[in-house]
Amino acid sequence: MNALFDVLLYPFRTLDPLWGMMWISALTGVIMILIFKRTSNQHAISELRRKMGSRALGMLLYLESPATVLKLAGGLIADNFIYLWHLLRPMLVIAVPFVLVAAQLDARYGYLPPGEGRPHTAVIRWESSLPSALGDPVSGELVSPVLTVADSLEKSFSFTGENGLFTMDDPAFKTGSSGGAGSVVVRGAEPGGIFASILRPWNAVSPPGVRSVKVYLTPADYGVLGGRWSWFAVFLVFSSLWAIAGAVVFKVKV
Amino acid sequence: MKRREFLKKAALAPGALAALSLGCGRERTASGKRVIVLGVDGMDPGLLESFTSRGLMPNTARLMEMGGFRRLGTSNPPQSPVAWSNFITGAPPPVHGIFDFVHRNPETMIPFLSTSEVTPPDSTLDIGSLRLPMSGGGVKLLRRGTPFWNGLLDRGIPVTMVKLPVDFPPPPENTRGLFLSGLGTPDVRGSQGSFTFFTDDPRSITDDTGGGVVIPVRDYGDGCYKCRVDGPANSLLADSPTMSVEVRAWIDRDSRAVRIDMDGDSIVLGEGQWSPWMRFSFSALAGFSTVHAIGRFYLKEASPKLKLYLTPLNIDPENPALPISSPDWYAGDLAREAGLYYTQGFPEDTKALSRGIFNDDDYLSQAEIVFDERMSLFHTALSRYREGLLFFYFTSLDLNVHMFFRSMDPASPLYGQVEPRFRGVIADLYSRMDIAVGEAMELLDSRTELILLSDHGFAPFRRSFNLNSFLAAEGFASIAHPYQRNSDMFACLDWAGTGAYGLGLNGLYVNLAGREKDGVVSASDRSGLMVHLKRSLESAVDPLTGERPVKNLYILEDLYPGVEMPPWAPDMLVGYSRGYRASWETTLGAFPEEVITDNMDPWSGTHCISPDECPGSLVTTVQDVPEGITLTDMGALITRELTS
Repeated sequence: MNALFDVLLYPFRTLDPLWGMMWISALTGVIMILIFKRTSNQHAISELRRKMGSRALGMLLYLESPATVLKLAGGLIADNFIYLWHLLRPMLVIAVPFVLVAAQLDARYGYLPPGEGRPHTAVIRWESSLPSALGDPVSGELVSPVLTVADSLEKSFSFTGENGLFTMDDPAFKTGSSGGAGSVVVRGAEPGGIFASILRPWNAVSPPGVRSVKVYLTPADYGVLGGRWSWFAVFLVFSSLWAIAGAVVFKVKV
Repeated sequence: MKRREFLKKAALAPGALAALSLGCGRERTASGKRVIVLGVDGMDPGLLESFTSRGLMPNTARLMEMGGFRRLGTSNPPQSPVAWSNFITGAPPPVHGIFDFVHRNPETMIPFLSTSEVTPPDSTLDIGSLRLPMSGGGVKLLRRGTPFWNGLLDRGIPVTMVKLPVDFPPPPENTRGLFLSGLGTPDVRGSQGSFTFFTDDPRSITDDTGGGVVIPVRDYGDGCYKCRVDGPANSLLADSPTMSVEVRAWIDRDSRAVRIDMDGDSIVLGEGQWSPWMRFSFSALAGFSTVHAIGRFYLKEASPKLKLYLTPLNIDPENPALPISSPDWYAGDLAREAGLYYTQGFPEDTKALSRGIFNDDDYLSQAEIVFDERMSLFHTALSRYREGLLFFYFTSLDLNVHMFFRSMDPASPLYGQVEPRFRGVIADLYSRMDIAVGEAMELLDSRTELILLSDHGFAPFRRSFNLNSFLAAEGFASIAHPYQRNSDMFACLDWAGTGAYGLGLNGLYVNLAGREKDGVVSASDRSGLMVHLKRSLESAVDPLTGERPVKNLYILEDLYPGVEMPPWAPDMLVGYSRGYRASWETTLGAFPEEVITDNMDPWSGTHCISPDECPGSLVTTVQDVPEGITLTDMGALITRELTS
């Protein structure tokens, strides 16, 4: 997944991050709507929508007859449940790529790489025993003493990055990103495994002896139409717009 | 629409959206003339002359040669809210209604902040413990009168006022200028700045709540202190309970460090280190309403005792809980470019120094943060400035000179306690201000004028004058409960035997029948009493020095004959001599035993004295500045330069 998204976002690495996000949102919106078309019962949805429309119209026509309105309203509620049932399968299918895309976008656009200004904090937790000291950073700078909490086998420190990166040799650990806009911003480490790497692509594999690393980076937000929005809000709005547009173009009944 | 057409339009849509987003936040231009005003609170003309002649302020010296240097007439009383209101409205206190930092309601005798007030909703809907506001309520600026920039805006001249004093809340958005509130802006708790100090050192834990709260915390053996940070009151619940969040401070005494964990963020601090701004969210109604705030931690000591300071919780400029800028987005827009900054009106924590929470080093490290932030805002404002009026306000000089006048005043009772390395603090500050002047001067050209002005000067504050104690000693006030002399709010007074009382820094009030809650002085006796008070106060002598503590007692009716005063206005203003000022006890209505005492508070400089003793400064490129110019004339001068 990382490699796929690296390729998809490669042309946008020197541009404003919004461009890459819009590109992925467009792609996601259109693909999602096509998946929806493929996995849903289009005929049944179309029929159901017609039925619901007629029930709503019936309610307007028989306003003077409460019993009829109630009956139609009951039917409308039942239709809604049937509609949700029709949505279930496509939504379950769509949920899989959606989670994968969301994880990738969070890894790439969710947080800012560590810069030289504001300090960030890393908490490193060991498997069994604490080392007596940590190695010096290779890039970036420690800006606090190293704090030890012996009971939980952890050491923590605050640091600033250098060109978006902070790295140290002992333990071998890296956080941040140096690949330009749309690259994965590493903000932790864990033992590894296929699910971890797919669902939490922002985590690297823990160095030997280290159980986990957690890095507190600054959440990113983006300026769109005068407001500040998280990557998720931008993605949701843009991908929805593209999905709606795609539904019109590809004649998908939603 | 054909599929190809759709695809073509869809491809263009992101570009259009991006173009729209880039279009926000730009100043428009209307006229070619420019006036930059640097409002430096408390820049004293005497010190300015001294430091320029010593070569410490080369840019200001150059500016003096280009235009001129004058003493600028200040307000009476020469307090910042009063003086800046004079500047803004071009009128004296009876017009703008600000006479002191503190006013009192004569019907209740309850004091209130003179510059703004929070009004509760007119009506609420109560559902169980829920209290939902239905109408009204909000924050109101109490300064009256018409700001001089309204005339500029009406002419289409751009106006940008950054950190403008006595302008909280800022004017409504439809005024078209850009405004960021300064002096008078509260913290999220609604105070003028209330720090929090977490400690397990019992010696630090006192009942003195002035300026902040000291919260005892305890390590239960796991190295973790649970620290409760109190935010604003939850006005959506009955009884308005305080909202709070918990932060955890993990301590490592060997490395003398603390890690502070809070929701979604963490920072490790060594002793003497400041955290960056940390964001706090106080949730009301299970997240339906959230108050955002920012604060910075300072680890004073990790071992042997924990001493962890947290700044007053400032309004987050990117998510303001109260309006601090106009338009709304302006505060956040500046923060995104310049970085987060103190939004409270009094950013330097003078109370922490006065209470001994800070020592001089701690205080100066905080003051440096404030100054650096202000310079960053200044750079941003300058880089965006194209034309019209740019006003930028610096508060650092005022508050730091208040705290460090003792370092350059051999007659101060605290002079001997100041470490020699702090003797040059004020000179350093002035030379740092000079850098800002130099940066503004880089913008000077044939269409640009620069005005450097201050609202007042400075004087030493060596001796505290307990005005109320003097009134009691001289028979103008009667004490019914001597054991309550040191309690605030006139707790010891017998109002029936009291003819006058002091409140605030310069205010003196007649206990007038029909106006004051327990007034006894009839209208016919009022003038005679005021004359008597004037004679008595102006002839008072300090037994220690032989000096007269009160230089002038001003009767407002003599200053502004025929002008009707608002009910909160004092009847008289006490103009103290240099070296003297109202005691802190006087400001809140206490009656200590002694009338005059040494001032042992680090707050050792003052300007709340007779206005002729502490004029402001004016250095400008503007030619033809009238002689005897005062703050009230500055708006007209600026308007003249921008419109002629």
